Amino acid sequence: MNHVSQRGRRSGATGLPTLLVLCFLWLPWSLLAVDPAFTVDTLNVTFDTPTALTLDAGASEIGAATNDYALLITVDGGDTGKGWSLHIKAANSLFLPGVMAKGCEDVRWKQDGDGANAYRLLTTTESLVEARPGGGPAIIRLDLRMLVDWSDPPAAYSLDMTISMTVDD
Amino acid sequence: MTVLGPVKILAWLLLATAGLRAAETVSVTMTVSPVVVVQLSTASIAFPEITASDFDAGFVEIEAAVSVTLSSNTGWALSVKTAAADLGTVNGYAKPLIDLEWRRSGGTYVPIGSVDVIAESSTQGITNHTVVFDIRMRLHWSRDLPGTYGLYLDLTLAELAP
Repeated sequence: MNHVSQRGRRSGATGLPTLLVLCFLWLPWSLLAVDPAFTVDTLNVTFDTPTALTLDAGASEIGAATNDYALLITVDGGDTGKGWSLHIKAANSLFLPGVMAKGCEDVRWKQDGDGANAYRLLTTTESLVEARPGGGPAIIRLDLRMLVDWSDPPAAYSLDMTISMTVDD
Repeated sequence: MTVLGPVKILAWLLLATAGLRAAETVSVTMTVSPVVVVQLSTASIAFPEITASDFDAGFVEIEAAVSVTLSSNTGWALSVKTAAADLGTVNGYAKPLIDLEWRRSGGTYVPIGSVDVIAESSTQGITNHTVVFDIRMRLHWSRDLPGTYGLYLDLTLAELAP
């Protein structure tokens, strides 16, 4: 009696995994495919402390030279062939400390390799960095410029910048 | 039902991720330190040879003797003083400090002293601001012996604490 009962339990235990395996096989493979995703090489971009020369020039730049950059974004295109687009925006309209009233538009960005006049304002509205309707991987290097001059009082300024990816349906 | 349940949930999750958004937050930072820069129009000021009419007038004056151009990204104060005890000694006669006077152009003359006197200040930063100084030397027939007199003027630009 005891022996039969043990056999019965074993039978039930192997039945459930079998069902799960069958379900797994029944699922469309697209459900398991990997969508595009991205990573950034750093979560903190720090500009040099400005000198008198910097304040006279009115800006500080990271990535002035080609192949030099402030932020490296690596897009893994996944295996779904889905298109994607990458956007950038400021999380806040003002740098911290807010009492200094330094606006997020003082940060300018461009893709490395573009000309100096390609710099665009960082605003709280998303701006398109790159779009790949056909999907696929990409390496995107961003240069950053911070406007800073004699009117900027001494302070430790910080601003969060959001890089976001939208994957097409 | 127990089999289809997880499948339906998975399919629903997949639909929910259509138009998926992923985001990373990157902090942008810059530390701005106090920066003050000062530039003088000249490193030395020489009065012309003193004449009898200068003695009669009681002084000799140089307008716009020195200009100070300054930039600061914080509050600042420009002050004037000297470390000298007098204007120099000739044959035992020490010409007193009070004989040298200064003013911002258009202001009122004050004698030079050994303590900083603020010529101009601001709580705000400023760029390429010029302050022009006039100087005047008091002359006295009765005591100023022939000779060469002089001193160093200290023009100091200091940041003001916010």
